[in-house]
Amino acid sequence: MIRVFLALLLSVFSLHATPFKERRYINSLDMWVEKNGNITFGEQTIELNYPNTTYLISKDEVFLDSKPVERSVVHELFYAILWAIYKDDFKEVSANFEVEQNSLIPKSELANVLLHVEYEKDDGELKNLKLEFKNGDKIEIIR
Amino acid sequence: MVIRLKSFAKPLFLAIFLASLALLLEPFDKISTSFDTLLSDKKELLTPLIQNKLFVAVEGFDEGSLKRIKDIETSLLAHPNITKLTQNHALNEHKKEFALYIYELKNLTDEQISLRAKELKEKLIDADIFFAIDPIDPLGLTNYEREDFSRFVKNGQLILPEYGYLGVFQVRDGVNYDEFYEFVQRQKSDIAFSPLFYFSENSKIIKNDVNKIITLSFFVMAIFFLVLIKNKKLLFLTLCAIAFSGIFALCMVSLLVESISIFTVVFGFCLSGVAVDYMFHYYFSGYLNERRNRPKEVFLGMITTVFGFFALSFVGFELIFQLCWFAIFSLVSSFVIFSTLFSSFEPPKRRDFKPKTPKIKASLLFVFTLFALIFLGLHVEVDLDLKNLDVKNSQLEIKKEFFYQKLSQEDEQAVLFSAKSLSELIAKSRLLRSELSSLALCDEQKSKRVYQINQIIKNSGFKNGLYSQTPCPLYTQQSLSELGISVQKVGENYQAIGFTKDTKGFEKLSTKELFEDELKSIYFNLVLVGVIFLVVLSLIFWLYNKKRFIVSLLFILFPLCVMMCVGLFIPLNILNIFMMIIILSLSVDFAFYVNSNHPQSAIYYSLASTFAGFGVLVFSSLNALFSIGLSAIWGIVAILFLMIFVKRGE
Repeated sequence: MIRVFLALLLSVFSLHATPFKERRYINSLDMWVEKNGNITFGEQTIELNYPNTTYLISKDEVFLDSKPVERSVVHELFYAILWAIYKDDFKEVSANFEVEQNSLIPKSELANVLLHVEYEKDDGELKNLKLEFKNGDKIEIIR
Repeated sequence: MVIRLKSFAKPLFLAIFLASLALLLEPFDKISTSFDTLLSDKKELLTPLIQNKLFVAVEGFDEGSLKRIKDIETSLLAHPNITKLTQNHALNEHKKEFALYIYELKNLTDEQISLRAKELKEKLIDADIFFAIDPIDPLGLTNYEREDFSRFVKNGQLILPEYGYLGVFQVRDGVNYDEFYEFVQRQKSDIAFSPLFYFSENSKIIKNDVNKIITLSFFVMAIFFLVLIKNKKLLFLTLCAIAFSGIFALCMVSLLVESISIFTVVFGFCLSGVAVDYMFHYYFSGYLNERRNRPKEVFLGMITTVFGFFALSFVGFELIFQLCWFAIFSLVSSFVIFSTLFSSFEPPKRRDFKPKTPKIKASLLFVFTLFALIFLGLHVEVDLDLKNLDVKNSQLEIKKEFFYQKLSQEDEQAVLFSAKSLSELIAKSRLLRSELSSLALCDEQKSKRVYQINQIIKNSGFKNGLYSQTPCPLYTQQSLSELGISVQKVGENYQAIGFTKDTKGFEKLSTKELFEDELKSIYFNLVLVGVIFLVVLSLIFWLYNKKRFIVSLLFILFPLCVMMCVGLFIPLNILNIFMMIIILSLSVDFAFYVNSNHPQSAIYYSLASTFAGFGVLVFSSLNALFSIGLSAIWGIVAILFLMIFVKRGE
């Protein structure tokens, strides 16, 4: 589900296929991992292309390499967050996040997993996005 | 028929005294409509079971329904005592930290663990998209199973499968039940339920019924007195005396108990029908006019009745204790008032009547009664579930079933389990569903294995490890309370509450079970008190008038027999049995009266006033009051039968 979440996060960069670089810190391994991919933000869908896999996410369904995958609660929530950041409309996510300038602070149950979300925009377009998890994992996505 | 001026001074003094007593003790604030307050010593055990939850649901899964449930949620959360239902974070963190000690370790070799760790490492590094590992048991080394709630969620909102959207809330302690109930009803959900609704709804049902009964009783008594006591001043003073003794008894009982059941108040109101008897006897005999040479029967009758209540008060059941002490205070005070404050009332013209009816031989009826009693003793059923006396709120029961069935919560029962030490208690908790099942079970061998597992994982590349390396925790009551887990220490033992389908070997914990346990323990006492009572009375009868011993004894056994007949049709509950003993102690009064030269009219009137007092209770829709009324009516009918149809000259 977190995969889906991140895939969706990447989608905020552009409506068209946009390349991105992702840096991931895995706390248990004490190791940084780097990944590259492309994201396409459609009208109702987000497509994520990696060297070996493709994810397609809509409001109600998730497909991995064209095969449907189980859609989870967290997926629904995160989908809402991504659209919120992309459209600059935070009404839907305000139940689960304190919305501050360039950051979202999780509240309620979500705060037990995610510490905070930070993003930077330049001329209305996202430059980068940082996430920090409670278990020490970190993700940085750079356009 | 002139009342001396000074005779007003005493009632006035009494009124002032009682008003000050009532203001000081505030007994009316202690009146409770809740049935559970009657559980004497175990009621605090039920407190954690009163689930302060609120369920609301909206039918349908369309966008309109989603919007409606969201709006209702927002409105409900505006209430200061309603919060979102949250998880126990402290306990969740604890589970993450000590998973290897909490859950049973699978029988895996070092190589297998190492392989799992390496596979996970590769997956984490190679995965295109970051994924979160299971926070509790990432390598699946234990029997821990992740709970899947996806069936109960849609569009980020809880749902009731096949119905619609659901909202679940926590209600904080100290909420005003009525205000909370009204507030939730205003939200216009399709269906709403909270166990707290029972307090509000049942209380209203009880209050309405009690008001109805008290009004009815008041009218019956008022008409009765108006017809019988033609002297208006006497009537006024009698009503005052009854009110005084009632309030006095309420004040005194409030000193003895924490909360007074509303049933005690109603019972007390109806008891005024008995209290007024003393006045009748003195009035019709002309003894209100002279203080000396008053007949000893009235005093004897009062003493036996009070003795009956006194003996019953030791049965060990809260409601009976309250009823008995209320009766004792009320009867003694009304006797004192009638025999000391009432004077200078001329007796009415004797209107004695002796119905001319065919008479039955007392000995014949006595033998018949004995056989009937043996038969009834073998066939009468007893209902120990006192909850059956409580209000039947079927509408709320339906709503409760609706939510509990859809959320699959109906099967498990609450039980109490105990052990000599906390670790033993935690080990026991594994047999059922309890918060204690989320606590670590420590032993040296397990600690050693956990250390080995952590070393294997580190050697497989997880420098910071996957499981906590904190040693197995030692719990105290304090540390458990910090984790939000309640454990009570009772004597040498620790006790906690759990839920299970199979309650075998555990002490069941519900109002019904607690009442039944308590009633089983007092059932023997109740029968014992009854038997002792019968023996003592027989002795008194023997000493009082040997010639009419059989007739006197019939006044106990025959009403008992008739009241027990009720048990052939419906199982007798605790209040039926209680009322049987009370009617018997009243019946004794009549045994004294009929065996003396007491005016017959006084006897019939006092019987009629008792009937008017308790009889109205059969119109109650509350089983508790109905039971008292039913036994009373049959008992009084039996006494009346004895007075009219039995020869007394044997």
